[in-house]
Parts: sequence; C-alpha cells; structure tokens
Amino acid sequence: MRAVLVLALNSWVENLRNRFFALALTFAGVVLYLSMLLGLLACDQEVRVLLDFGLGFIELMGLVGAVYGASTVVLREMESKTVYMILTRPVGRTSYLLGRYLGLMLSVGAAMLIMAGAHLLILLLKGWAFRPDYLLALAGAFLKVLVTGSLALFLALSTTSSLSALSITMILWSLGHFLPEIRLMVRRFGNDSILIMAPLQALSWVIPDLQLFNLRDKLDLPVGMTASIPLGSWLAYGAGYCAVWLLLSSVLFKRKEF
Amino acid sequence: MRPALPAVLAGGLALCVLLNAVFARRPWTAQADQVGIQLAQDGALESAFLFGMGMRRLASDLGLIRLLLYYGGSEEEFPGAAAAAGHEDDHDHDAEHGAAGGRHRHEYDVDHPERSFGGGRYPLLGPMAMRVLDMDPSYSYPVLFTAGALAFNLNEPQKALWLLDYAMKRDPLNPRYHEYVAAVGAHRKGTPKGVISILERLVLDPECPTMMKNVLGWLYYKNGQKAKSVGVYREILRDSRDQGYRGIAQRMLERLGG
Repeated sequence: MRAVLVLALNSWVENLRNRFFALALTFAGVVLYLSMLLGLLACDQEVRVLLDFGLGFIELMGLVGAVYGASTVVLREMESKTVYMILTRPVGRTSYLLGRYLGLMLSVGAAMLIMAGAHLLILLLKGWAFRPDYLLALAGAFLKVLVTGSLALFLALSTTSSLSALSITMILWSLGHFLPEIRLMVRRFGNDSILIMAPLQALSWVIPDLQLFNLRDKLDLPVGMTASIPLGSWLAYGAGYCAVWLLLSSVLFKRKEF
Repeated sequence: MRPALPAVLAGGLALCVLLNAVFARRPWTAQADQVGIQLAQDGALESAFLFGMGMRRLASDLGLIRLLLYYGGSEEEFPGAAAAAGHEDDHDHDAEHGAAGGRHRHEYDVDHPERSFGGGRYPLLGPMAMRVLDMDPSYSYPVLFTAGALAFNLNEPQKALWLLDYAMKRDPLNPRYHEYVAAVGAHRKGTPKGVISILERLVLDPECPTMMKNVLGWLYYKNGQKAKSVGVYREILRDSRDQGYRGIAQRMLERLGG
C-alpha cells in the first residue's frame, strides 16, 4: 500500500509539472470567459448558462486530462523502458498500475477543483446563491472521469495503442450518455427486431451508465429533492466499475513481457 | 496456474452486467420525460453531439440563446424565418397588431410602448421553444417566455396555449404552466383585471421572465394604476439582466415621472 501511495504522489507531482495541465487550465480560463459572453446573450438566464457551460467544460477538461493520461502514461513508460526502474524494485505490477492511476486522478481532481474555484467565483460575482448541489454535480463529473480513466487504462493495455484507446474511450463515453435512450430503443423495438437489437442490448448491459452521474442535469430540482439522490449507491456503482477495469488492467499488465 | 485471459475478460464483463443490474436500473426519483425526445431536423447533429458528451442542459441553453437572438433581432434577418413567414401570409398581422413588425420595432412609440419591443410575427418562436423543451423537459423558462411573447406581444394566444399544452405533457406537475394558461385565458376574454391578478402572482416567481413583468407594468399603466406601474418598472430597472427591457423600463419611468 505504501508503494501505491508513493507512486501516486510521484505521478501527481510529475503531472502537475506537465505542460498539458497548464494548457488545460489556460484553456479552461478562456472557456469560462466565453461562457460569460454567452451568459450575457441569455439575459434573464445568464446564471444558468454560466453554470452549465462552466460545469460542462470543467468536466470536459477533466475527461481529456484523464483519458489522455491513462492511455499514454503506462505505454510511454513501457516504450521508454523507464518502467524497469520501478519494477526492478520491490514494487508489484498491480501496485505500480494503481499508483499511476491514482496519481493521475489526483492531478485531474486538483485541476478540476482549481477550475471549479474560478467558476464559483464568477458565479458568486454574478449574484448566484450557492447551492450544495453544485458540489454534487462536481462530484458526479469526477466520478465519470474516474470510471472513464480506468476504462482508458484498460483499453490502452489491451490495444497497446494510445490512439485506439483514446478513440474507443470517447465512443464509450458517448454511448454511456446515450444509455437511457439505448435502453428505451431496446424496450420499444426489442421484440420486433431481436437480431438487430441484441448487440445493442448486450452493450447496454456492459457499459457504465454515465448519465446516472450527470448530476448537472438535476440542478433545477428543488433543494429538498437533492436529499433523495441515492449518492451512496452511485458511489458504489462508480467504484465498482473502476475496480473492474483496474482489475482487468492489472491482469493484462501482469501478462506483459517487456 | 494463471486463469486464461478470455475467462478473466468474461468475468470482468459479467461483473459489469451485475453492477448495471444492481445499481443503474434503480428508478430515479426525479421526473422522467413524459413524451420522449423529438429532436427537430434543424441542428439535430449539434444536439446529438452535446447529448453524447453528456451536456443536455448546455444543448438546451444554446437553443434558448438562439430563441432570444431570434426574438431580440429583426425577424427577416434570421435564417429560415422568411420561409416560415410565407406559410402565415394569409393572416393580416400588421392590421391585427398595429404594424409592429420587425423593421419598426426599435422605434419607440410613447403611446404604445409594447410595440417597440416584442411585436411582429416571429413564426419560428413556438417551434424553437418546443425544441428547447425536447432537449430539457424540465426547463420551463423558454416556455414561459415564449408563451408570454405569443399571447401578450404577438397576439397569438392560441399558439401560446398549444405551447403550454406541449410543455404540460412533458412536465404535468409544473404549476407555472397552469398559471400561464389561466393568464392567457383571461387575456383572450379581454379582462385586464383578471390578467393583472394572475400576473401579480406570476412575477413573484424568480423564474418569471422580465417580459412578463413588463406586461404587468404596461397593464397597470393602461389601467390607470400608475404607482404600481412605476413600482414594476423600477424593479425591472433594478433586477433585470435584460438590457432591452431595462431600456423600456427607463423610458416608461421617464414618461410616468417615476
């Protein structure tokens, strides 16, 4: 466990020094500024537009950072052989993988928190009354990023190509958001066209329901309603998915021959 | 002995199925879309992309901004507006509404201040609001704004009622829609006092569009209740983010000596 923590902290520091994260934060600043401009166009609904644009792009930047990092970090170290320097020490392969993953997610989480801080500041300056739902929405976005990051890591190790891993992850990210519609399609047409719907049905059973974590969509709920959000079970759902993908990644990584 | 890779993968996928079966299929406590998404062809690709990225609210926000740009500008300049207007040429709107078409709408008429902002035909207004509603069925502002504009500015109460009916099918428990139906009904009967009493309740809602406050101020003015009219226009000037209505409020206050 100590090895995992050391690796995670090491990865975190490494990632914070990485130019990509500075670029991500700059880009997020520009996007937040753009959201302010769009907010002006929305007149009475300025705050809602600011809220939605800001949260949406914070999630998007977190996703890009996590997926890019997860699909490149291990493969890059395998290619440059730097992975030997760690694995020749008393560090298990699972610990190495877990440490890299946690470090990456810590970096992404830190970047998302900084962006959220700037976003909150703009919102409060615009007269928005703070609601705890905002933190729930942010937590939901981070859960999505965690699940997708673990999936990207698994895909990177199974395809051994960062580009393939990136592309497949983004496709699954999209499908994960369309899952309620996919389920509706399967329910409506499943009996009439069994053969056509079977692959879709199988997919709907396997891919994570990312729409479930989309707590941004619930920001209009009355304050009391947020108490009914089954946060515990969603946390378990997200953690379960991360565990499954990390477990599979670990199995694949253990079989790799360098 | 290490387990075979296909067996491990199958085990992982089985765990995913289990997670979906246990957690994701639990019913969500918030209202579901009663009718289902019926995306219009125009802009469907953009909406589908944003849906896929998990940004449904953002898609509806963009729809609202388009609606506001359309209604806030000259209707002849908007792409597709001319074709849409062509279907409605059998109605003599100018005679009906006092020639408050897009070209003249920015000229301020002290005797008819309502004509300087919001008059005209705007045939795409209703369909645009319906499109926003398709994307986010719980988003009531575009419906309230458009229904108010159709009923009180464009003298199309029937279209306003259709829109409200469309919205109520998606969100039947929203009390705002029922209040609006009552206000439009009173307006059709030509009972300003009835409309005023309903609008007095509606404007207390923080989601109430500034346009409806403007209608209330104007009805007070027409009804000889100048002190109340001044109060409403002062509130618009103080609270509204809509520059257009702030301008109208300023001019009305000058006229009323407030």
